[in-house]
Amino acid sequence: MPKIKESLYIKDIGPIQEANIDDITPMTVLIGKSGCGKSTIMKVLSICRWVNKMVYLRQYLQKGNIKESPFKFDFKSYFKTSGVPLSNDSVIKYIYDGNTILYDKDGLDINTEGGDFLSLEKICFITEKRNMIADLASLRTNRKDAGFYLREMLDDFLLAMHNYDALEIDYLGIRLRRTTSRGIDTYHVEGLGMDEKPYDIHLDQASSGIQTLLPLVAVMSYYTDKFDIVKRFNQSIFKMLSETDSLKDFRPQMNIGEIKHRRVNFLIEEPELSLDPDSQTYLIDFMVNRCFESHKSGTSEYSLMLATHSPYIVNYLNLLIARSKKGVEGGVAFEDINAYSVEHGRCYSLRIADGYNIIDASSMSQTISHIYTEYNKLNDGRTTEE
Amino acid sequence: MEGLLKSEIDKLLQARQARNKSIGAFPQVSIKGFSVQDPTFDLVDAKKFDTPVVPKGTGTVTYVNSNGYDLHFVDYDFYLSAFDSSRYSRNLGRCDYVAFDVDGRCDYFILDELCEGALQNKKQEGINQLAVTLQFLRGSTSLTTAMDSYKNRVCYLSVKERLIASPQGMADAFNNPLQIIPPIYTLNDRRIGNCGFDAYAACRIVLDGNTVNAQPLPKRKQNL
Repeated sequence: MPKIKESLYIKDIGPIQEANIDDITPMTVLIGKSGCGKSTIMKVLSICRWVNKMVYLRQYLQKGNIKESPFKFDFKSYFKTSGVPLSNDSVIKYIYDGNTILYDKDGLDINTEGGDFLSLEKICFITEKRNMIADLASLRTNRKDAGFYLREMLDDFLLAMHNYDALEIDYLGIRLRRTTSRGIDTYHVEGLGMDEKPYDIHLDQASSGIQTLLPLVAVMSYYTDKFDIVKRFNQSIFKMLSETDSLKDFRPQMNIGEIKHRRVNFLIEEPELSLDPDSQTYLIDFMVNRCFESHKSGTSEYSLMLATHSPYIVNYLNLLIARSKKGVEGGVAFEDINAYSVEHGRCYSLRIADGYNIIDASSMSQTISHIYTEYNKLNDGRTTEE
Repeated sequence: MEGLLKSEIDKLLQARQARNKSIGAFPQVSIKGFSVQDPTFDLVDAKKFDTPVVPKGTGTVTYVNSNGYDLHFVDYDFYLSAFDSSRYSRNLGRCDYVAFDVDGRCDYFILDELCEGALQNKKQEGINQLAVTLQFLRGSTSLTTAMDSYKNRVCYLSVKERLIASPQGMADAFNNPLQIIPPIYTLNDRRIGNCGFDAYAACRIVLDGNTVNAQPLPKRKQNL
């Protein structure tokens, strides 16, 4: 299947002055200081992808004799709900294949080139607030208090866990299991302790690393393993047409299942949250395996965008590229990876092409360099204790 | 070229503050520059050292000038900084040097940003300084025409990394990412490319006349 070009241009939204991602690769990593706008970019992209998904649905319905769009949405309000309010100067231009979504001072303009291409898209935003999932799932925290992205992820997690009796996380040697008693679900973490004795604790009592990791693993596992995108779209269309009383007019020219292009998009804030460096690298391997390695011959594509502060994750990208180059399992081709440093409201690509084909991870060493420059100054330039 | 550069920069700075009624008189500042014809030479950031040209191997960037160009360097950072107190150049990004050959060959017009040491995000900062400088200079039609008459128009980001030296080498593994960075590589910045300049990260600049320039893009209403 030919690669579909996807790009995003953002101007004057939150901390972003003017950011341009010309070609969004299947694996994209954003780095930068806290508050620099990494999450803003991901949230804008997730909303644009969602709108684009609705555009495809609208095109599908139009072909099925549904002339009036059943979709009504207030583009601006989505941004407000997402915590990235638009200003009068804000500009967004999102392009995916022949579709262009443009937002500027004149409002929203969606342009489709009218081709036959359709795509089934799922957007999965994995928030950095996911450590609250354990409490929310155990009903210890009121779900109304959760923000938009956390509620979305909670729904994804609950859906995922209703599709697994137990979820094995091999590299940590643990299992996530759901039990139900009197209609109430309880989530258990099972494994072997240091003394080789089995333990079984509730998810909300597990370590912070486990609490942030397991919901992410559960959601990714479900959407790369058990998720039936065709069934989901059929349900959505049936629901929408029923609500607008237009089911009787619907004369589909093609089944949803005939739409060949399908993509699940993961946008993950701080995958490293509460994880030790080794676990971070295991997690990247898990993600790569789920999104790229185990689906090479599958029907769906996967995209992965990460916002991270972790030097281990950024440096690991070079290992992924090297693996791919050598044909070793668990790699990602250089063409399919990009990393951006978000600074001064702009995006700077960290790709070094020119035949070198690496990601410039050197900025992730600067803080350590600064620490030892200061240390050595205090020790008269000595690097060893005498 | 130096005279044109000064007069056009002065005009651009004054135009920048044309609507600012509270701003004082435009100060008279001399431009500072130096010429080099040596086959190889090193440069350091002029604001940190007394002499910008230093012995080979001791500077932030090495120029290999085997074609014997008569190169003239303008201390652009020094010149713009001289206007900071009068607010004419305040908050205006700037690279360290603007350089060009003055022997009539018109082969090189160079912007160079030098950086050394453990500074957070210095590369992104440096690219930004180069892009902002270029966009500012391209605000002058005369300067644009003059710059475009040079065969090779290049922005160089010269970042000299200082390797980490930690006690017992405990953190020296953080040097590994620095050691796989190639000596020269292309920087892709749309702002620089749109001005018809190439951009590279390099601490060894070889002036062999072989750089290929990006074609300047036609001006558009909105940079989308």
